[in-house]
This record gives sequence, C-alpha cells and structure tokens, in this order.
Amino acid sequence: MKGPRALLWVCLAAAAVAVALASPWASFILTVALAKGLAALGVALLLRAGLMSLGHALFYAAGGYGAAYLARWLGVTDLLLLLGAGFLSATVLGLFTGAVLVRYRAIFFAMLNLAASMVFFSLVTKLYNLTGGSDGMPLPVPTMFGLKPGQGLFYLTLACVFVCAGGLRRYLDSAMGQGLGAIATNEIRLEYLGISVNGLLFVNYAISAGLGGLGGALAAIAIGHVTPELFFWTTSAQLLLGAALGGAGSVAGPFAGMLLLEGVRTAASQYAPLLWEMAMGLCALAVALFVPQGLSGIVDLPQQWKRAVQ
Amino acid sequence: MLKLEALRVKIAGLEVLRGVCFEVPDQAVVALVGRNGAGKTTTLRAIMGLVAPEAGRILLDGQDLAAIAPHRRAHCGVGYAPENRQLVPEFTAEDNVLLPCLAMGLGRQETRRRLELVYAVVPELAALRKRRAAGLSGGQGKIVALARALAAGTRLVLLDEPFEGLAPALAASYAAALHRLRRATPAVAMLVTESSPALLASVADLVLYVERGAIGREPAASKRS
Amino acid sequence: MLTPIVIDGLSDAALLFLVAVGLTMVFGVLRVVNIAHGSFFALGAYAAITLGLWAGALGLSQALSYGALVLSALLVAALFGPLTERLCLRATYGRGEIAQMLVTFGIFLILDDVQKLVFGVQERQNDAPLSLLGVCNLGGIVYPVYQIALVGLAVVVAFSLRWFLRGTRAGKLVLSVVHDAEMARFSGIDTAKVSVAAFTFGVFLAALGGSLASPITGAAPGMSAEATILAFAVAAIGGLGRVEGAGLAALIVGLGRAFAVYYAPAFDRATPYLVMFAVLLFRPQGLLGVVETRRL
Repeated sequence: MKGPRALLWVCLAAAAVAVALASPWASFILTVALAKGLAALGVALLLRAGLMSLGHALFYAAGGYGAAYLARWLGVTDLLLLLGAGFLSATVLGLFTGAVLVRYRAIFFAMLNLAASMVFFSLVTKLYNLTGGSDGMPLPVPTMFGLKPGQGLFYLTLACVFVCAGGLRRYLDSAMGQGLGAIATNEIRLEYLGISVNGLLFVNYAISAGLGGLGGALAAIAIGHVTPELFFWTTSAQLLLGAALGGAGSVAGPFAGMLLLEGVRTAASQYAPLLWEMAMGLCALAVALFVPQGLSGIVDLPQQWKRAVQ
Repeated sequence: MLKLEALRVKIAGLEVLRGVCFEVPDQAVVALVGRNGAGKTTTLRAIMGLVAPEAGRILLDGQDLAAIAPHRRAHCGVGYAPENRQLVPEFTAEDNVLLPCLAMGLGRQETRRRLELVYAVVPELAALRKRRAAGLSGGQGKIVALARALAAGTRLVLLDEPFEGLAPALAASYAAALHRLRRATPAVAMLVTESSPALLASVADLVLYVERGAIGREPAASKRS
Repeated sequence: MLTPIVIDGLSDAALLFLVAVGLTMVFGVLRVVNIAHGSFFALGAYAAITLGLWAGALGLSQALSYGALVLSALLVAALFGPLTERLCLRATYGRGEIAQMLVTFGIFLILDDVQKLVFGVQERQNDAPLSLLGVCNLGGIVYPVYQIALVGLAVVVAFSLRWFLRGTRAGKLVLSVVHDAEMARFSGIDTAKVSVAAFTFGVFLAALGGSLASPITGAAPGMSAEATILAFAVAAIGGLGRVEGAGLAALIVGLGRAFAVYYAPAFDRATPYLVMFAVLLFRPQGLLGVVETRRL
C-alpha cells in the first residue's frame, strides 16, 4: 500500500517539475495552484470533522497580508521569513477564532466563519492608511539567503506541499486524526468516551488555519500583490469548491481539485475570457451532482458501478 | 382492508421490520402492541410511505401502496396521527385539523361535512379551536392530531401510541372519542399501536403483538368476541 | 441630525429587506442555503433596467418603467426558477450542506458569466423610475421620492408575504412544508410541487428585490456577490427561514449602517457582518429563529 502511493507522489512531483521547467509561466500557474491547494487542504481538514467553513479565505488572506506587512514595515524580502510571517499570522488568528468558533456546528459554523471573514474584508477595504484599502499592498520580489530565486519559489512550494501532505497523512492516521472522522459521524459517543470534542476541533482548526496562511503567503509572494478580495466570500467558496472537487477523503484530493480548477481557469481565460466562471461553475455542478466523493472518489467509481450492476 | 405481506424495512442499515405480516379486516380495530423499539412506529410509517420498504408489500383493498406516492395516501382515505403530534405551531388547532382537507383541495361542503364529523367524535376540540397549536399541552396536541387524522382517514386511521403520556382524564376522553368514532363511522378501520394492551382492550377487535420487528405469538393473539 | 440618519437607515433597511427576504423564504421551505440568490437579485436589476430602457427607446410612456420592474421579476422567476430547482437543487435534498453549497455556488458562477454575456460589463442604469417621481424635502435634506417610496414598498412586500403565507391556501401549504415536510406529506401535500413553486417564488422575490432596487443602485458586475453576502447576513441575523426576522434584521443593520456612516465611517461596510457575528455568537439560530428539534 505504501509503495505505490509514494511512487505516485514521486511521479506527480516529477511531472510538476517537468512542466515548470518547460516554461516560467507554467511554473507560476503551478505555484499558485499548489498554494491554493494547501489552503484547500485546510478546508478539507475541517470537512473531515464534518464542519463546512464559508470563511476560510480569512486565513488565506491573513497569510498573504502577514507576509506583505513584514515586507512593508521591516523591509524584509527573505522568502522564508515572509513565508513564516504569513503562516504565523494566520495561525495566531486561527487560534483566536478557533477558540470561539469550534463550539458551533453545521450551518452556524459556516455562517460565523463567513461573518468573521467578511468583517475583515470590510475593514481591510476601508482602513486605507493601514491596509492600502481596495488597492491592496505590493510584495517585494523575494530573496532566498540573499540570492534572487528564479524558480526557487516553485520548488519551495512543492517542498511545502510534500511536507504538509506527509505531515497531515500522519496526523490523520493518528488517534487524533481518527477522532475527526468520529466527530463527523457520532460526536456524542466521543464525548461519552471522555474525549474533548471541542479540544480536538480546536487543534484541527488551528492546523487548517496555518495551512491556509501558508498557502496564502506562497500565492501572494508568487503574485506579488495582495488585495482585500482575498478575504471575500467568493475566495472561501472557491477553496471549498477545490476541496470538494478533489475529495476531502484523501490528502492529495484538494491539490488535485485546485490544480484542475486553476487549469480550467487558465484554459478558459486563454480561449474564452468571459466564460471562466461558467467553466468553474459547471465543474461544481458536475461534482456535486455526479461525483459526490470528488476526484479522489472517481477512483472508486468503477467499483461502485460494478456493485450497482450486481 | 389493509394487508401487510412480509414487510422488511431497514433504517440506517439496521433491519427494523423483518417480515411483518398481518391484516386489518374491514371495519376492524386492530391493536398493535409491543415494547419500545419493537417496530410499531416503523410499521405505521411504512404504511404512510414515510420509510421505504426493502421488501414485501402493503395492500390497501388489494391495491399495492408502492404504486401510490406518499402524499397520495391521504387522498386514498388514510389518516395518520404520529406519536409526536407534528402540528404546525403557527396554525390554530382547527387549521391543523383542516390541513389535509386543504391539501387535498376538498370542496367547501365536503370540508364542512368532515369537520362536523370530527367535532362530533372529538368534542374536546371545540374548546381548543381558535388556540394556536404552539400553546397547546402535549395531551391537547394529541387530541388535535387525532382530529387531523380523522379529517383525512375516511377508510383507515393509523394512531401511533395515542395514550402515551396522556393524563388519566385525557386518556379517558381519548378512549371515549375512539368509541364514538366506532359508532359514528363503523366503516372506518383503525390500526392503533400501544405499549400495553390494557389501554386498548375495550376498543380493539384484534390484538397483535410485535416483537423485534415481526408479529410474534400470533396464536396467542386474543380475539374479542 | 437624527432625522437624516433615521431616514437613510430606513431606506437602507428597505433595500436590505428586499435583498434578503427571498433567501430566507427559500431556506425556510427547502432548507437550502441558496448562494445563487444574489445572481437572481442582479438578474432582476439588469432585466428591469433593460426593459425600462427599451420602453423608453420605443417611445412608450415612461410610467411603463414601473410595470417593467414587476414584469422583469416575473420573467427572471419563470426563466430560472423551475429550471434550477428541477435540474440542480432537487438532487441535493437531504444530502447535506456541502452538496447544496457546491450546487448553488456553481449556479452562481454560471449566472455571473451569463450576466456578463447578456448585459456586458458596463454599469447600467435607468433612472426614469427615480426622476418621474421627483424629489422631496425631509428635514432640510432632499431625497428622491422613490427612495422614500421604497420603504413603503418593502413594507408592502413584507405584509403581502405575511398575508400570502398566513391567509391563502397556497401559503398555508407552504408554511406546513416549512415546518415539517414529513407531516405535510402524510397530510396529502405534494411536497415536490410545493418545493418547485416555493423556489420559483423565492427567485421572484430575489429578482423583485433587484428590480425595485435598480433605479437607486443600478446594475454592475459584482452585484450578485454583494447581494448574496448581504442577504446571508440579514437572513442569518433574523433567523434563517423567518420573514419577520429578515425585517427586524434589515432594520437593525440599516439603521446601524446609517449611524456608522455618520459616526464611524470606517465601519459602515463591516456593520452587517459585525452584527451578524455578534448575534450568531449568542443566538446561533438568529434573533427570531427557533431552535430545531431534530427527530431521529
């Protein structure tokens, strides 16, 4: 079981590197897609516990803005420091919001996250002197150990993906990770076992916020700019779409989902600039109506059909 | 009137009914007696089409109910009073009773005829008529749910644990209502569930015992003379 | 000082109520959180403006603009209501929030591009309904009469809806489905039919909100997203599914926003969401929401 999966990951990485080497433009697209994939992975982590967030953009954006502020206030351009700032600001924000919000479930959880992210969106748009308002803030071209990295950002993103995916696999296989699935199916039973459900969810929320921040910082550095739109609910919905598209069942799912979404977006904006939203919308409908398990569920479809025939 | 043939129902993968077979003869009152979780409620819900059977048939006067959409069963003259009442809190008691008539689009005359019958059988309703269902006590709610079932049930009335949680006085008037119903409309058959047979002894023509999802001790079922 | 704030707040509340009322009703009946709600709002606005401008271009009476406001909402509802419910939403009933949110977000994205394709990306405006009614002077400040009339219109919509739900046969059937779909079914109500009718009616309310608001707000890309999120905020504050709640929430948010504009302008955009966050934190079911007891 472990062998083939690892091989698959190596093949994927090799393919990504090959594509990235082919053109800097492709490496940029891949970087952004994988960065969003990290954030979508955070969303998927919440989905595992049965919680749907309509406000995860809050952490994605916080990652981007955290990096941007470090550059703006302290003039830092070092890639790793920027990344760390993004990750930390989102995680800290996640600790605060999580402490309050993990008590809520279902639609109430979704709505409260939505409200929190929209409060930030509105304030960031309005507080021009502090945030650059709707124009946003620029990020510097990053340096790494004083060197100017060309495709360095792409490789760093790839490394982040592998580290996070691997770490998360371990986390999900651990007792804590297993507990998440149990929360989704029967929370009360878990409480009877003397396990603090809210405690589990809090840790999970913080991790998912950190992933969002990491992804947000990487994407912001790649794009070189942050705007309040990052906080807007449509960003949250896209992250959720990516997670659901890939399937929350596996660690690779959200990355696959985001790669597909960004692929569709890139292709559509190339050939039919007015239709990229429609293409994404059709993806969403197709997944929701025909492949409820997401891309990683497609693997199981032939078996399901076989079973259905029998 | 009503015939259940080897009815099997699964809820969340658990087999709740495992081959329930019995018949409600024309004009008869049948009591379905069993402990909590024996499958009484599920049997009634299956008849109303609120749970889908895995296997088996439910026949109403020879017609397979599988071919009749759940919402059409009221139109077939089957009324149902669930154990937990399920009233619309914003409606008055009378509006709740009239809901099946409204849903079926009955004419004014037919509606009035049914309402008069209901008031004749359940006179307690008159005092509650204009009160909102939200303000009714549990027992009063049961009376209203019974009345609603009668408004729809011109052929068959299903009552789920009608005496459960009723104060003795209300239970007596509920039982009296069942007796009046027998006299007023002898053609209407009834299927009533209860956890203890004593409560239904005076009304039931036939007592069936349900145990772990099947009719048990059938030979012992007592036929009242 | 207080008068203009209250007037601004009330007229803002009227708009907010019109944005949210359809969303809250659809949630009440179908238990679907309809992200595409704002799209129907925007389509209503675009349709009203386009129809009004056509009427003007054809040299028809300007007063027809008012008819166009209602007609466009009817058109949008007839075009999109049954189609969306039958083809997309029906498959998601009972499948949980994630499937619903994906489907309605998908519809939202698709309709966003439909808008751009049909109506272009320019901001559109038809102020005939605004200019025909002229202006009035309230407390020393000049307001378009239409803006004041909108408050009355919102109240009319609120009370008509109340009358429809409480006083008519269709309304009573809808209410009973809202309260308990299973009970509705065993009482003889075709809940599938009620669902499609109620969703179409919800689309109508959304589009009507958009068309009535259009003389003031105009229509531009991005309108759908803005309308969806505001509707979410207002509906959640009032209690999802509660029409009266949407009215109360619209008043609170509208007045709150108006006060913020005067006293804390940095916070005016954040007001709806601050209120939403605060209310949901202490009353997750919303101000007038009822805690649902779920049967097992």
